[in-house]
Amino acid sequence: MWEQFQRLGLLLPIDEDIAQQRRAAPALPTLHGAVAGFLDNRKNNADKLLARIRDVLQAQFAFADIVWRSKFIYSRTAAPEILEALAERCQFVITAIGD
Amino acid sequence: MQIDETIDAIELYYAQGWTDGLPVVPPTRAKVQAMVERSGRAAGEVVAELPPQGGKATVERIATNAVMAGCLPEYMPVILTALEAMLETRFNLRGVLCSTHVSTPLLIVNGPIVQALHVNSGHNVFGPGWRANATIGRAVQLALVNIGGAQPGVLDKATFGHPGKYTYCIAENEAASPWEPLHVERGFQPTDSTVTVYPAEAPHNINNHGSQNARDLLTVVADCLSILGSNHMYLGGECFLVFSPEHAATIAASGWRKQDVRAFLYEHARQPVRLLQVGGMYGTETHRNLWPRWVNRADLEALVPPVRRAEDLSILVAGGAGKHSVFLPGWGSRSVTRKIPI
Repeated sequence: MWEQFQRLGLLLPIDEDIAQQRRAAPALPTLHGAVAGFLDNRKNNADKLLARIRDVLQAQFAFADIVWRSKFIYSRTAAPEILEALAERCQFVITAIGD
Repeated sequence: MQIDETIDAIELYYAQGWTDGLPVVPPTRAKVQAMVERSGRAAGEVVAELPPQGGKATVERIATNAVMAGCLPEYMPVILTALEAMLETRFNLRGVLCSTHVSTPLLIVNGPIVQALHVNSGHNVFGPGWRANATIGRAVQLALVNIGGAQPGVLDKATFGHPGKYTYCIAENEAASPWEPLHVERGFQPTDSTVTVYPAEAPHNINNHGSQNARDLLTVVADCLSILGSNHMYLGGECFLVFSPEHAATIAASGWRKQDVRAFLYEHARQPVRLLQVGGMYGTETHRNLWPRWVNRADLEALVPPVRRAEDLSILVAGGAGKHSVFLPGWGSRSVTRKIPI
């Protein structure tokens, strides 16, 4: 595909490095015994929705541990220390809005 | 490039998902280079890391999007400055781009560059027909999607989207304003050229053919400002009013300055807690954080303003003849004004 652009002398309007990252991460082989993360964005009902998901998944997969964090305010990105804590300990993280 | 090749090139950009649904100008190296040269900056300079995905917006990549949008090289300083301004925390670009809400960045141009680039500030100011308005706004939107990764329906989760996501760029009609223009109010010189970025909903018309004085005219405006369902009634932030020259003249003829307009609207654009708590974004966050502290939340008849301070009502004059003004509700964050280096 890129050859066509090159042949026509055309430039790309994207950051190719970022474009490469727009892929889903590989799926975990199993959730059994994993350390699960939950990121509550603090919108109304987000905590209730996530707690229900946590309980359903915990009953099914018996997580080794659960890490729960809440953002300070829903419209801003999560603080770096929250993301680092989740990335360090969890095999996967679930986040959602509740409204 | 021959015509057939040009059409092929346009289809190539469609196939990659790099257009807004309209055809783009194929960004040849020569056209992009001319755009970069006019910016006065190095092609590889990273102007911004654009959310939501953090794509590195180099001058060359922005220029490529600007060519695709149909820009002239002399528009580049406005585009670069607007993108840089959006990165200030107070604007919250990531939130604006990814929200289910219906706002998108609006560019407001002030100063001598308005005449130099022929940016429309008069009749049909939010509409089509002017290359500068149409393509500067479009270049910014294309850059946000192509470089930042705010693809509609993927990371841009807007429930309805916004016609301004094709392009959203106006200029203030400084010559028709009885007041100092927006950029001078914000500390810039009249001879400075600036761009203000503001996350705006679509213009909401305020028809007022009847009022003959500031108090009556602004009573109608106040009712529009405090509509239930607006983000402002729950989140505060900043909102914009664009007065037509005729409405501005009526207000000024009563001897009212911008600060008088703000004071009146802040006092009169209010809704009672009783109505606000039936829906909208009423909830624990609103209760905890976002209404002014002096509002007695336990009093159902207590009146709540759409912004926390009168100064959060921003005012400019634009448009042509006619007794209409527009309210530009926002997302709940704030505008940023930057000087355009020229």
